[in-house]
Amino acid sequence: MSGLSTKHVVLGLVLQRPGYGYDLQQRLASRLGFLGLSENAVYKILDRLEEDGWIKPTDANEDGGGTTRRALRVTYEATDIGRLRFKEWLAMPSDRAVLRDELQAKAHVTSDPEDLPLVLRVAEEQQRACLSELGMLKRPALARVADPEVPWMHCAKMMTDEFSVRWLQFMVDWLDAICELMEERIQRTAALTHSTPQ
Amino acid sequence: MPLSSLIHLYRVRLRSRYVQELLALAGIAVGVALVFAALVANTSLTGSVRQLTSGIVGQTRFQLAARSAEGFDQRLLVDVKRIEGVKAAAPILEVQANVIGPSGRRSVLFVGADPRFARLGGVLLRHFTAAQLSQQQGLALPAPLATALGISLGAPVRVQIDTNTVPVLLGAQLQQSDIGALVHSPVAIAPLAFAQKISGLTGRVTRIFVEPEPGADRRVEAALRHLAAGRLNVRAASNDVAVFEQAAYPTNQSTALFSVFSALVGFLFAFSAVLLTVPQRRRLVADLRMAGHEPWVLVEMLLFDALVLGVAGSLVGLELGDQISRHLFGSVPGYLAYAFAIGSQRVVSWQSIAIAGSAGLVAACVAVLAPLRDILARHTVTDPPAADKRARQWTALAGLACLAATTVIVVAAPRAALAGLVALTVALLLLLPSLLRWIIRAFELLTRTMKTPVPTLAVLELRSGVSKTRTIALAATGAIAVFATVAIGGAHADLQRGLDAAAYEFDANADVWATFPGTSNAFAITPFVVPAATTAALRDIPGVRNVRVYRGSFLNVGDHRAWVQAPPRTATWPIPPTQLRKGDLSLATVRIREGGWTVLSQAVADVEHVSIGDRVTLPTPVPIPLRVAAISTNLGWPPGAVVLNADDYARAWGSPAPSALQIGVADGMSADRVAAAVRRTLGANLPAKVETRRQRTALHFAASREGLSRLTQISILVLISAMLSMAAAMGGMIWQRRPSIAALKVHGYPDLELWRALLLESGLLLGTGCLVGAAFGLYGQILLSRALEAITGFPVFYSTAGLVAVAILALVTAVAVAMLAVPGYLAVRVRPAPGG
Amino acid sequence: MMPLLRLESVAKSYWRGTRELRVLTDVSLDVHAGELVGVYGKQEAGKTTLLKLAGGFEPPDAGTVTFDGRDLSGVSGSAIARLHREEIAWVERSGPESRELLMRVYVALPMYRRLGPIKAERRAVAALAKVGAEDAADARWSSLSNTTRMLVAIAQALVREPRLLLVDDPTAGLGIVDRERVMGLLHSAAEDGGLGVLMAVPDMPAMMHAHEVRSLSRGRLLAPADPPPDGHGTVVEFPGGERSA
Repeated sequence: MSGLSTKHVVLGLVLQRPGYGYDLQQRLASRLGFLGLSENAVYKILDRLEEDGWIKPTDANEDGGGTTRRALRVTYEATDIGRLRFKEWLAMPSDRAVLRDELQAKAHVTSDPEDLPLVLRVAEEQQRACLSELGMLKRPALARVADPEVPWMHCAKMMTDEFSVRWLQFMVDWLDAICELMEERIQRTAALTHSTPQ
Repeated sequence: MPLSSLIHLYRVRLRSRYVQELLALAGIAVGVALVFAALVANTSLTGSVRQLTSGIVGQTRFQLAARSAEGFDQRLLVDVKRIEGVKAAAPILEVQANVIGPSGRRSVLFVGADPRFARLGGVLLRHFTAAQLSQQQGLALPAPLATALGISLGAPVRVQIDTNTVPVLLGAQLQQSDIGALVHSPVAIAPLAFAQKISGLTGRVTRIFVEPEPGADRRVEAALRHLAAGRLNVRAASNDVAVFEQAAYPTNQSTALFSVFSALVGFLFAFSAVLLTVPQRRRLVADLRMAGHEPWVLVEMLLFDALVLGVAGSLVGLELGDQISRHLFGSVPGYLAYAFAIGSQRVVSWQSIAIAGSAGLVAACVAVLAPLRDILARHTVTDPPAADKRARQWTALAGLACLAATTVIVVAAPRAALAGLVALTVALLLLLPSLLRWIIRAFELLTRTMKTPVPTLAVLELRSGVSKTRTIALAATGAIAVFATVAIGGAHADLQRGLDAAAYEFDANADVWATFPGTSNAFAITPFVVPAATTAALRDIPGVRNVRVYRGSFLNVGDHRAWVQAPPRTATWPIPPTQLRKGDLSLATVRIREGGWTVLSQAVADVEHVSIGDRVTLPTPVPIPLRVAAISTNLGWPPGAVVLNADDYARAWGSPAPSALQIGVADGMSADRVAAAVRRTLGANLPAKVETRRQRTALHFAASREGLSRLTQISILVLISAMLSMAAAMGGMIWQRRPSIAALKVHGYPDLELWRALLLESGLLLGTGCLVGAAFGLYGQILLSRALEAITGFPVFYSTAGLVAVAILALVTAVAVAMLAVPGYLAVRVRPAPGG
Repeated sequence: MMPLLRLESVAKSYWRGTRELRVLTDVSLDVHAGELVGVYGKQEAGKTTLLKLAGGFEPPDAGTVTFDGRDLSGVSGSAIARLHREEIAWVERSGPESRELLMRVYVALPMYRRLGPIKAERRAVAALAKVGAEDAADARWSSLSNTTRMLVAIAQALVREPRLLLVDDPTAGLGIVDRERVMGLLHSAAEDGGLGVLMAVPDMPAMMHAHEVRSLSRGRLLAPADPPPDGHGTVVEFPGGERSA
């Protein structure tokens, strides 16, 4: 999971709605359980975020003035720098290795509707990446697996390649499907706001 | 595309559709045959008269013609020759005569010609130069006629002219090599002097033919007129052809009309047969387009198809038509033979062949080019437009407009009958799809509650097929055939009734008739001399109430050879009571009896430009002034009729000779017995044909039926070809549907149900077509009857032929469906196939 | 080098009643001679439409289709027909509309005009043999297997010795072995025959034979992303966590 930036994920959660440690951990667990972050890990991330100046405790916390966050339930909100860093991350193409996780993570922690176009663009980028990956695979000759003349080692490679291709096909189809739906959502949202001016 | 490729592709595709191709070929052949046969029959009729006329007339330009059979004094020839500008002139004597040989008698035109004619005249008389005939006291007959009568060269033959029968020798048999096609004409030739002698018309001729110097035409004609002094006719030499054409007009018109219908049926037959192969052609067009061939290559290919089909169909059709014209239409309409010498030769003009052949080619092209729309669309793969509801509405509207136009013609302008008929036919074709749709809808509603699935299955294909050209073409075939048969059959029946009435009223003036024997006696137009003693002897026969003199003949009025009826003043009905068109019957009857008055048919009145009350001087041998008492029908004689009393006739013709003796039988006496007594009494003195009223009426009825028999023959042909075509096309369609039947069978429908559904579907489709055709046919009958009345002046008695129409439509539908029973049964025996 | 076929900002809509169906919104694509270009897309993605536009079978609503430097929209009907007969071959997967034709006749259809029946069919039989479907020459379409049908279709396209081959879903209904065979044919048509081949498939493994791969989605054509800078970053993560280079 090295590629996926948990820091940005937690930042996104704070951006969506200010919260304290336990609350953020619960939200993470319910939506991005596959990241497997413990409560402790969340506190560590919050500390680093505060150090970097991406989040800060809300003004309301200062009334209590206590030392342990657990007891005091310090509520964090994002700073302007944090907001900036988050957008940068969103727009960044994901590492293909962690493609699935990261895209899902981004989707979960973005705010509708303003961040959606960014996610969409990323998804498209992922599709293109899949295509170029496909271009780099060797021509499969799976049919030759049946040929006893072909050494088994090559066969295993062919089978793996076939698997890769099918996996890529699955990815492309999935991306295509979600892109289509997101695009429609963006369009319909725009139409909605257009028809009901504030 | 190279021709070899076209032929190759045609051959390759033919294998899988030769049955349909044969059907299409048969359709075109039938259409071409009917058109060709009718054309040949028509041209033969006029053609034989034309040949005979030109055979006599040769290079002469004018004729001075007698107005009666007695002719005029031949010394007039000297005066004619004296006219400045006359290059040559030759007299001729023409007499209606009977030639009697060992094996029969034949009415002929007995021509007495002068050897001078050899230089002047046509091919018929040219033979005279060489013929020893000019010196001999002999007769020349065309070889086939001589053979038919059993007369050999040099053998005696009896010639009956007027009341005399004279034995003569057959001096020459004219061969084809001598007189060409005239060898089939009913004609006998003798030297003028000899002819005059045996006909008892010594010193008389009937015509003088004149050849003027070049450029002297007008001068000569004027001089001839002066010479004729209103007692002779001055006409163009070939005038007889015009007169005949006028007489044959109704026959030719009705034949032509029927041929048009036959052609239409034949065309629809061909069309529906060709439409069976349209899907195949359409698929090939798609394949060739995908293979990158230009539209014109595809058109080329389709035209090649059409060419093969059209040429083959036309050739078969021409041969078939030839046979039909030989065996079915060969007989000359009887009524024309009374007034004209019509030969049995068939005249096949190149125009007939061209018209019939090109009709076949056009039919093939139109039918084959049906997928043209696919070709002309630039981009193949797009879907055809689905919604054509608007087009349907416009079609129906146009149909209604045509119907309205027909109504206008019926009411206001019955003379435009041909246009009306075209409009009605177009209306029928345009309204048929909508009517079909409605009737199928109605059928669906009616059968909705029924338990059996048969009606639903039957309608399944029809509902979607209504918009298909093929389905419409099928229904249209039946519709047109029934339409034609009902309309023309109805008009025919109306005419028949009118003619019968006219003949009945004519014959009813006497219980027993005595007329000059021969084929023309039905009209009582040949005068014969009856000694006073004979009349007295007749009066003395027990049971004879009275003996009256009837006179009559044909008279050329303009181009109309009119039938002159001159009944005795005391006749019961001097004017046939139902035949009056304009004027008051009782007043007109009184006036005819009174004398100095005449009743003219519309055509004759039109030639003379007179109407009721006007004065008229008819071109009779002795012109006398008469007044028009009324306007009648043509009394059943197409060119027209004239009625005046017998005494006026005697004055106008300058001859007291009767054409018939009308004998009244006393009450309670048997007409047959009296007729036998009359026959005995006359037998000794003069050869006459003695008939009772009943016999004459029967003869007349038979004659008028014979005259119209060609119509009956064509209508039967049309019906047969319609039934065949519908059964064949429908059969083809059912056969093509086997895959979908196989798919239905997967759902467990038994053979019997499917078979019944197929027959019901066929019956529904064809029956609807025929029903619509019958309805339009009844309307067409009104139109045609009105037209016959207006154009020809025939007596017409209109009556709705509803029952006949129903019978025809039931017959056609039933026969067509019955013919489908076997192919339908074979089709439903297909194996069930999922996914068909 | 000038591409054999170039699509530039091509758009195409269909009307279903009153509803506009935008199939292609903005598609640009080059196909060079000797190149097999594969377009991946799901059902209804507009692949067939793309091919039809590329072949000049339908005109685009916007944009241009250029074949061999000529704008296809400006070419007359009969010139288009000539192109289809001689230069642009469409591989018709559904076979002849005229089911009664023998395959030798069907394959010879484009050649009848140029060569006459005897030579055309001789050429057709040779083309069938070349794709390994010589047994089909005297058979009808209905009796052929899916694979043979595809081979016949390719033979019918190749018989005209075209410069551009358009293939729509050549592997539909084929097993893995036959898929390889058909794709191998197309690949060698491009590589050895020097043809430009444009094919559309809804099947990624078939795409592996293409020299270039595109994905058609939502009316647009996606090109592969630029290769990663490190040159061999072709890493795919599988659910099991294994990696394959």
